[in-house]
Amino acid sequence: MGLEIVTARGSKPVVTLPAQPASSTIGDLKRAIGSAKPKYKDVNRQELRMEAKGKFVKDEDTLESLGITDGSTLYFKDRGLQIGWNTVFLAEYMGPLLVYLLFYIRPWVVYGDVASKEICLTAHIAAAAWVFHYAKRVLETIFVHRFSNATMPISNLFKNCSYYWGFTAYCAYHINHPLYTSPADTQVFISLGLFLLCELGNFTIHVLLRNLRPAGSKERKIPFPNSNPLSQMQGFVSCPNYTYEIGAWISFSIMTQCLPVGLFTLAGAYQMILWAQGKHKNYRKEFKDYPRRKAIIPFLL
Amino acid sequence: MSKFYLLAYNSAQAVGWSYMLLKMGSHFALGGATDTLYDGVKMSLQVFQTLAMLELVHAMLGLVRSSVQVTMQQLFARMYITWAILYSLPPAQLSLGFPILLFAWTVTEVIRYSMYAVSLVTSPPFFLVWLRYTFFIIAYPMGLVGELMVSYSGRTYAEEHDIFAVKLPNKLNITFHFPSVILVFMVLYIIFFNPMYIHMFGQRKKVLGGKKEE
Repeated sequence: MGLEIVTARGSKPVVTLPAQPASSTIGDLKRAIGSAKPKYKDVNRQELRMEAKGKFVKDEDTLESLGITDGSTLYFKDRGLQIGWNTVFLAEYMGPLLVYLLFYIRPWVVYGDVASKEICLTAHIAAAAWVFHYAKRVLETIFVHRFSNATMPISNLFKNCSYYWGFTAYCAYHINHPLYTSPADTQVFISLGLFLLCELGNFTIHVLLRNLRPAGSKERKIPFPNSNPLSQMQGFVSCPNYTYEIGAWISFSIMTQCLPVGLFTLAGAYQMILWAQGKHKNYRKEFKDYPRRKAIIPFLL
Repeated sequence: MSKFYLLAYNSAQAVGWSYMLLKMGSHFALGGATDTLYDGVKMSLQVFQTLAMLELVHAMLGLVRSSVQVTMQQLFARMYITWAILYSLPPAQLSLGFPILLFAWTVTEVIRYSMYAVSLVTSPPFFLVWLRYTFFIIAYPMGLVGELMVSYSGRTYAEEHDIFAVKLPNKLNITFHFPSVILVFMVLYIIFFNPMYIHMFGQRKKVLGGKKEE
């Protein structure tokens, strides 16, 4: 009889697989589908469901545990061309590095003849902070983060790159402008201090999360604060990494007193709040004993 | 209670946009030129298009089924053209794009508001539903072309007269260069046209496809 694989929309036949052993996994099935249909060779592109409009079944689950037997039908969704998370992250972060440095190191390309104008200290500090922030992100992507999903749809690449590269140009244009006005020194240095504190806090949480998850696994556990004082934030919110990230950008905005940076901060904060609320909801659904926390802003949100 | 209000609102809008359509018809029937149309209709356009901001409130209060986000996008686009482009940039008022977009807007709105008003009282006649899901086929491209043309016509004026310009140096280190924004919006309009047009065809198939079988 074999296993019928049909499309989730319209139940059109995709392929019929020969009977599989009960102990084989969804992942094995996907590889078999990929062999039979070269279009789906990239198993990340495949989504299998028990019901046409149901949730996807995990690669690790066995046919036995899902009740799939000879003659069963499984529903198939093509997730479209996929691209690795690492690839997307690196592409989207290269923009902020290269584009900002273009405005900073070669301002005449953008502003015309500015040879006579001296760059103020704040603009130097801002450039260093900006580059530090994104260099940190690139290094974390390579050495620290462990992603649940291997891939995302390729349309995300264009969307994300436009966002990062576009906003970088928008911010860099104003901070490195010959007519940029710096706020007072005290404001600059206090905000710089807060910025660095938040960067350290964000890094602390990234390491904390990495250590929660063994290498190569997709396991999920409740994160708790550790001996690092900056990790205490984890006791108050589900996503302290986002809390610190928003804190860093608010600090950067105040440090440069630049409204375009403020708008960039708002846009990022809006997105992170949505993500944090989603993650918070998932944590609470997944763990019955999840501690009382807020999603992203202690005591508030 | 809210039904009476919505009936009054939709009827008023249907009347307003019909008036504009008639004014447009008579303007050209009497030999009027394309660059003098704006003067005659600007008051009605500004009143009825701005009045449509109420629809945001209707969506937020749940008086109507429309989503807040879609309503906001639609309203923003209309208010942008009506006030930021046409009202603020005189050359845009003379553009051939204006009669084109006005025709698309007026016919679309007369159909839309009539449909809403009638639906509050009774099931709308097939003819009206057919119009609503068919006229867009020419109205969408016409609207796009008209809006692009008036935007383009106004750009030079915006540049020369520093309309809405914010320059450096200033305390918030921000700039606003309206001609650039106009250009960006023109590009965005073109980008977003395709998915929206296709979505409407999908809606048409869903609504009219079924009815044809009856």
